[in-house]
Amino acid sequence: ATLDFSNEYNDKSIHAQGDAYFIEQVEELTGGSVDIALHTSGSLGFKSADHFYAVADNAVQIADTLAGTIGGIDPIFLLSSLPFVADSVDEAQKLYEIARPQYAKVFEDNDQILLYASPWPASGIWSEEMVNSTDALTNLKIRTYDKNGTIAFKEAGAAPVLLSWADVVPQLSTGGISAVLTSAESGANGSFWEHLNHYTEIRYAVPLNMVHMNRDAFEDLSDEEQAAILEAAKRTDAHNWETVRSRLAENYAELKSHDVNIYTDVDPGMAATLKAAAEPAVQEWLENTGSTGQEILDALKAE
Amino acid sequence: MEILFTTLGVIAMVFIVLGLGTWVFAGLVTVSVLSLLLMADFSLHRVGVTLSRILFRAGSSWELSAIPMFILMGEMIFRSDISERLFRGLEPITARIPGGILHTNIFGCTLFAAVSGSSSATTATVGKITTRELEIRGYDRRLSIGSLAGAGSLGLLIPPSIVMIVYGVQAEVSISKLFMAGVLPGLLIACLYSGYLFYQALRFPQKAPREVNSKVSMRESAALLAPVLTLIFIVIGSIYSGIATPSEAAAVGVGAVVLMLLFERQLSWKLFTDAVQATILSSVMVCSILVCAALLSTAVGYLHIPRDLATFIGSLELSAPVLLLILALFYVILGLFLDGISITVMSLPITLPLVVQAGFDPLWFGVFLVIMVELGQITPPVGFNLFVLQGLTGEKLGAIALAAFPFFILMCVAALLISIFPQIVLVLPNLGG
Amino acid sequence: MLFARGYIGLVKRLNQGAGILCGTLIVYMAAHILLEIVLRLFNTSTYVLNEFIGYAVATMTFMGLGFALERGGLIRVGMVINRLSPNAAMILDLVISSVMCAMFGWLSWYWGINVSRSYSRGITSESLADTPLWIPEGAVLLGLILLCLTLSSRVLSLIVFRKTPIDLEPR
Ligand code: NA
Ligand code: NA
Repeated sequence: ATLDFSNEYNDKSIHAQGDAYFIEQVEELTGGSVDIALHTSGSLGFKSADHFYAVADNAVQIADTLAGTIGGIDPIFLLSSLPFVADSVDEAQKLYEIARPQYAKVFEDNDQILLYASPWPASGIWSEEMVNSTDALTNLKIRTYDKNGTIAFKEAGAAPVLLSWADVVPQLSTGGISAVLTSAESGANGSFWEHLNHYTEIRYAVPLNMVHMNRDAFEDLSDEEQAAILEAAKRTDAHNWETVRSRLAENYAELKSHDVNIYTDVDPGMAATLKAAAEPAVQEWLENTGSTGQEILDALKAE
Repeated sequence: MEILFTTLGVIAMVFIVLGLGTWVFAGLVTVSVLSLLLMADFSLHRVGVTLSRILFRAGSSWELSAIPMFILMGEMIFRSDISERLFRGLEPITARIPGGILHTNIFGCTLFAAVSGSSSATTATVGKITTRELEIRGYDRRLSIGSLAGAGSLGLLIPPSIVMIVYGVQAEVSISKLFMAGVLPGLLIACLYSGYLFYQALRFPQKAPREVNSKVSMRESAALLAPVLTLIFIVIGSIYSGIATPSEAAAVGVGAVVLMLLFERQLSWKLFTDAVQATILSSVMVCSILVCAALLSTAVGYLHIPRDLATFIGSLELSAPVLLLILALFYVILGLFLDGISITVMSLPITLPLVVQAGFDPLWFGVFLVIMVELGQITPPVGFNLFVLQGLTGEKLGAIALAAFPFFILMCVAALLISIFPQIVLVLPNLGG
Repeated sequence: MLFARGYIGLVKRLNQGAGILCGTLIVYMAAHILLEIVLRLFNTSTYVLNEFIGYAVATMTFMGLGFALERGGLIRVGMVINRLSPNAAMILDLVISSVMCAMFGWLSWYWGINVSRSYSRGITSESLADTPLWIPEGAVLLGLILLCLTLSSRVLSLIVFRKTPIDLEPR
């Protein structure tokens, strides 16, 4: 039988390519006895937020899910999108390895297994005018992508706007917004340089996508096939963390070729403002997760 | 070969289930259930959990809100004297043109397309305002319905456009450039349609009676047209000034009509509640069909129909022109029973590399694809413009599809023209560098 | 007979209520979007526009199904049904209505399981509003149930009175 694999991103995205890599590995390891069909761009009709229970109920067998979207199911999934907790890919990978047992447990409790993670390139600020000072943040119309970002930028004096991704480019072209909080990669995919010439690498967060599989579907496979899936997942995990590192250099080269100014030295004043503004979001998360959250953050500091 | 059998199976089921007289929204759900059970070997349990979740997901997408908003705007215009003034104001202009106010269908849809990103909203709003007036004035019903069906789908080609955004995100093509690329082909299609109306009016004068003895002067005409022009100006202005997103512009239209009617002391409680009640009926009809069509897309996705068909086409290793022809056929077939966005997301991962490899510009292909998707809006059994028009006029679906057929052919002609002269698509976006 | 009349009347009442709700939701959508546009001019926002409008559209669509069905607002293809004798057309309508009632009942069952899970686990949306998901999900469930009630009242009416509920009313 075919295993259906749902993913919300287009087939050239870092996530879909990681998923394609996983499928290749499975094919190689099983000699083609496990057939996985990847459905990109949400073409089965599921959004990331639907995936958790779609996989639990076996509507799809595997899904690639933006962790932040299922934070309402368990707050642990908000960890990777907490602002300024992990400020580099190295840090984000450490954080993932520390928290992996917790993630796995939530999936475990809901008839699923966590296969691998798919990290996003770090989010920064794309903007019309250079944004590298606290003043530049004031009333900045910036599109944020989640609750924590909205809270943090509001606290920092900006005017965050919630828009669906589809509305972002039309709003940029008409001046409805003048900045976007997202990765260099996503901006490049949307040809943001047609409207925005500055990118500030504020190292806001490295959000994670999680790839999870229905346990019954997994157990229906033979022992060899199960081992192959787990091995392929392990390989893909390592592969994805490598890719996200190399992708950044490629993205920056592309941005430069389109005359986008990249600022990697973030103004310390602005960094402090943003970090302070993000503190309430982190505190709220700690309250919601109790001792588990504190232990994870402590373990990160200890490393 | 098996995939052809599956595709034909789904199409046949749609024809049978809808043909028997099941409500369209329910018929789409039925076919989705049957496809998953019979052809994808799903258990009843898996069908239930899958489709119920998609029902909620597809229903709660906020972009759908443009439909009730635009319909409400149209209903209020329809119930006030703004629409009647519009047509009297047009008399001095249309009296001189063969086809008369039939051209308002084309012109109105083209203008409205610059406001709305969807074809259902365009057809429903313009159709609400024009069909009654055209009937009163004795215009040929078939031409009136057909031109609405055809021109309504321009909502997708003339920016803003939801399908173009979806294509742009998927193909990683600049959305701004895609929007520019759609303008000339959109106008080309509008001209072809108007040209056809000219021809029909000259050949069969009884189809388009002209009011040659209109007593409205040019000056009066300007005053009569002012309300509608102001409304259009406000809504388009709200988008292009960045005040509202294309998805929000519909509500701006509602606000502007309410203010205008208040200002003219036309807004009664009865007018308002009648308009809202009519809006509920039409928008529930349109939205429920769009939502249930998403279920059919899900089923077709699980059956891998677009993917396997496209892979099959790829395996044929065709020359560029033949590939384009086969892809056009492929999209017309998918368009028989799927909506444009689903067609785009499900086929592109395979068709785009084929097309690029054959040497076509992805920007150009985006516009070509949108035209293919527009064709699907006016083909039975699942054609959203046809459904909207059935709701508006009460005509039979088959009659509406027949009325739309000449416009289907004209749109194919447009697709042929942009294939021979790709500059029609590319000249505007390339101006910007 | 009396029971049938009572049941049909009750469903009609429920649909009238749902209709009022749908109308209110349409006005709410316009108001919220306009409010958001004005707030944005002042560099602020309700921050929940897309989310709440999405819930409102879903509720309007599903709650309105019964209302629209009753009033003949939902289109169907008359190809076969218009060519049958009145009696045969009524029997076909009866069959279709019963099958659709069963199918939507079955789908509501599965959706109901999901809603009760959202409720018992306290699942929220991931937004500034932290909306408990059972509320919008439950609204859609109610809409589906109302649709089933409307279809069942149509079946009953066709069996007992050989007419659809709307034709029962004096003109
Ligand atoms: Na448009
Ligand atoms: Na069609």
